[in-house]
Amino acid sequence: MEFIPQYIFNGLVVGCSYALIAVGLTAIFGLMQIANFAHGQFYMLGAFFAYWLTRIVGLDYWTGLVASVLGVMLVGVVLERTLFRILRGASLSSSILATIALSIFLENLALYVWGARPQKIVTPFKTGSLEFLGIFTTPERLLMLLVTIAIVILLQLGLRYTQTGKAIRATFQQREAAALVGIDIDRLYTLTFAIGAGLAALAGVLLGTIFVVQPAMGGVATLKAFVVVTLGGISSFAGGIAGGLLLGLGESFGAIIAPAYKDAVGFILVMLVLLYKPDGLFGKWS
Amino acid sequence: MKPYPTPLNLLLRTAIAGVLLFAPWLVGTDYYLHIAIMSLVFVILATSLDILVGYSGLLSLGHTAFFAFGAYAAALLYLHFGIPLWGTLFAGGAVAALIAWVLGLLILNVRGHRFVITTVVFAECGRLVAYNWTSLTNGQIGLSGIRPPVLDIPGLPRIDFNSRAAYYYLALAVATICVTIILRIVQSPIGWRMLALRENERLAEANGVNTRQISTIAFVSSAFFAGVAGALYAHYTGFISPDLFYFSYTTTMLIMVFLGGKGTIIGPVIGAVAFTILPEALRVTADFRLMTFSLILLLLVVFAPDGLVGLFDRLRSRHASARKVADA
Amino acid sequence: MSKLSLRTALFLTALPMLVAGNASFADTIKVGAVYPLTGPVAEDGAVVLKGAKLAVKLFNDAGGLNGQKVELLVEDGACIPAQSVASAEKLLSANKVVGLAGAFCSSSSGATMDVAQRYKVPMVAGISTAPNLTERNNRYFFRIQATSQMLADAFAPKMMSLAGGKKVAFLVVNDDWGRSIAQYYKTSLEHSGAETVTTQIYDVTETDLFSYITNIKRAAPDAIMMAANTQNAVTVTEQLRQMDVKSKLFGEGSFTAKSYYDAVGNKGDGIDGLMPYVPSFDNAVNKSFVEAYKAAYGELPNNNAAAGFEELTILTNAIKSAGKADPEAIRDAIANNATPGPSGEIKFNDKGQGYGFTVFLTRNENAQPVIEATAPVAKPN
Repeated sequence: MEFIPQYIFNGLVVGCSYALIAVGLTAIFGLMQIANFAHGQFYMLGAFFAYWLTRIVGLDYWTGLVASVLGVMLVGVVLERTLFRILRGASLSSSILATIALSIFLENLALYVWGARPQKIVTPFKTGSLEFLGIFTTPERLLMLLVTIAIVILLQLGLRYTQTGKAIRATFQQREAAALVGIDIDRLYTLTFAIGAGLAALAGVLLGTIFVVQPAMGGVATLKAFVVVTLGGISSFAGGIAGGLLLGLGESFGAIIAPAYKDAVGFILVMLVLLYKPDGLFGKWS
Repeated sequence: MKPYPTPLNLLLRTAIAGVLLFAPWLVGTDYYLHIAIMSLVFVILATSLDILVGYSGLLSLGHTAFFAFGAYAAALLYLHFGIPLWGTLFAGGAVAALIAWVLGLLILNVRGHRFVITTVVFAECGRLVAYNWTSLTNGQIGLSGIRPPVLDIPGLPRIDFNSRAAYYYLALAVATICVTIILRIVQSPIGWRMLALRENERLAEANGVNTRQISTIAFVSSAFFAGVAGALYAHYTGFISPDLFYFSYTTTMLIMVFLGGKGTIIGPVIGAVAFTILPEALRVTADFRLMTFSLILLLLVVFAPDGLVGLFDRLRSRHASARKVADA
Repeated sequence: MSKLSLRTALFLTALPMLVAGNASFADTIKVGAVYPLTGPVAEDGAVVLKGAKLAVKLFNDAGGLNGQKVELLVEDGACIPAQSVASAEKLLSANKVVGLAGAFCSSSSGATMDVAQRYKVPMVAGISTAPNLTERNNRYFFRIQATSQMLADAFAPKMMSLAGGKKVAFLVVNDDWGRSIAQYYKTSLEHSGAETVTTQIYDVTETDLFSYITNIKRAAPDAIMMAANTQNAVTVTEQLRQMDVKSKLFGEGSFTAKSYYDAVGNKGDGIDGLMPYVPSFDNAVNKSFVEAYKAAYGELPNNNAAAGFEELTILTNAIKSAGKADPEAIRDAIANNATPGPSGEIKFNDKGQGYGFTVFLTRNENAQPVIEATAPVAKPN
């Protein structure tokens, strides 16, 4: 069984991408109570912006990465100020359906602008295959791992020690009380939405460098993000991270037994969680 | 309790009935009859979804899975056991209903996004099974050769439902029966309880409504009709594949329900017909088709969730109140 | 209702003019094609269309049918069976085409051929390799491609001698084409002494193949037989190299496509392809085909372009041979004639299976396909 470390590593890399997207969704869903079924499209847009900036415009990789994330955050802000503000009081059904429609629209817009052909984001790394301890990987996948770890640490620090972070936590727990204390809910929502979109975009750029960039990638990402959020619970970031890694590892090991049904692993996990721990492994509605 | 229909109303109803009954002569080519038959399949689908989304407030976004299960059940029963359409229609509905019942046991205790995502993932799993269980479903190749029946009752002329015009009437009959039954359900006390469930589940519970039972009835009955639609579809196209599990079908049904007006049954009927014709008319602008449709859905959900029927109602009430003023 | 049909008719009028570039449309013979213009294999579909259009153009330039031109009407089947069926319905019912080409993916062709049979119009498929397509008693269906079974039988011994060992693994895409390849090559290779160690089947939309490749590495095969089109071929190649897989690689699919070479460069070197067509094949028809294709599109044709070209060459030749735009006569002409194609002469047995041409075992060297072996395709029974 000398291949087990390889399976674990495969699962961790994929799990990290799930975690990044899901954390962003948790921020939006948990804070603003809007089920954003278009969340995966931020992931897709991040990847496409990076492709466009590096391949077409000709920026170097790192500038392109930062610019893409910022660009998607801007898109997020615009959407939040317009559509999502309208959806704020709406029922869950309305927000789900509206965001699904938005998701389809964005996917087909990307299809129209960039075409269906899968694209690659040019990698900044020269080496192809890396090997350590019998595990094969690539620099791009390692980058995904490292960035995720860095983000997790930054998030923890930010939430605990900065003014804004504390405001977010406060609003998370008690919205009306937070408003009473003078926290500007509107600005906070916009900021949170932007961060959520930015995290998804970051995952998109990193994954787009490992794999390919295509308009259909957003829908799948949304699905995975919601599965993770269901697994991990809605009101904690730890849940999103743990859920993401769990799903990634589950799929990687599921592939040993039945590769064709890899995606069903998510369903099985969700069913188990719904039956035994309906609030998710970590979370409870606050 | 219902007001007696006005002469205009009666005329309108007669005209619609006339168009429906004489469509094969009015319409001309087989291609347009094809659109008509597909509209009828979607009429059944959209109204069945309305039971869940419109009446019960259950956002089941995996609905196409039951359509697909019904289609596969019908196909397999026909291909392996020779059971004709008369049997497979019920079997398709029954299989879909049974699967819905089992799934409901597992997931009908949750609401919100968890319910939604579970139904979506369920449909995706259905697709995986249909795709990979090749010994049963032929995988991606799909099942073909599902023929419509030939009616050979002694004393009556032989009716061959392979003819498109004949199948049109068959579909019309099935759709009419299904919609009538669905109307009966939602207009019955069960239907009121579904509305109670939609409006405020906790309050309904407190008032003695067995919400678990009602949601199960809604889930299972809507799946039944989706399965019937699936069987009808299978015998018509003669060919089915795992593609029937794709989310795009659910999206189409959702648009039909919202375009027509959710929670009205007649709304989804209109929505189904309108939205089957529309894509065919817009076939040429393939690039913009989905963009346009999703934008339509978005605008409908946000600004006009009562759809065409709601619009019509608002116009009618404005007209009626204007008339009242004039009378006075 | 009449407004609808007027608008549709107007647009249908405009579309063929754009497609065929013809000045007068009223007097043309209409031929239909159902190709994947959107979806995962859209890129390949676009190339097939290029070949098809070239064949029509050459036919019309050579005078057509006594001056009457052929017009190619194309609908997007997207390699989705239901959509391919709807597209075929449209072409056959509304446009009344007298011949049909397509539909690329075996499952789509399988669904579409029923429609062609219902309308009694001949259908020619240049790419679908699932063997059961010609076992369905459909006299209106003709398949030009060598099936995976024929390719496997032709080259199994040679493959085993190149493999350097007995153990064989399969890495195929999850559709009837991929599964057929796993099934038929397994049988043929095992007849030549192979031992199948694992079969890994990945979804066409899958981008992360590390799990599948890890599964394969665990089985330590000497050779791996792959089935991959378009983007999958690129992904498979890159990730096999990333995981430092040392087995001998064989593949059916897009391993010699221009887009493939553009994407992977030299990473594809050493991969052996089982191809129905190679541009360097020394054959008169091929030479003029390659020249015309280069002149029209500025690049070398690949097997998809050749397939589209052959589909329409057979249809247009049959129209000429039949002397009229009558589907039944065209069908008979196809069945009875021998048509010269870029891979050799094409004849059909009474099941509609093509034979008589050559198939190739190629090796990628410096991002080019080099012919390693050839085999003639004998008449199947």
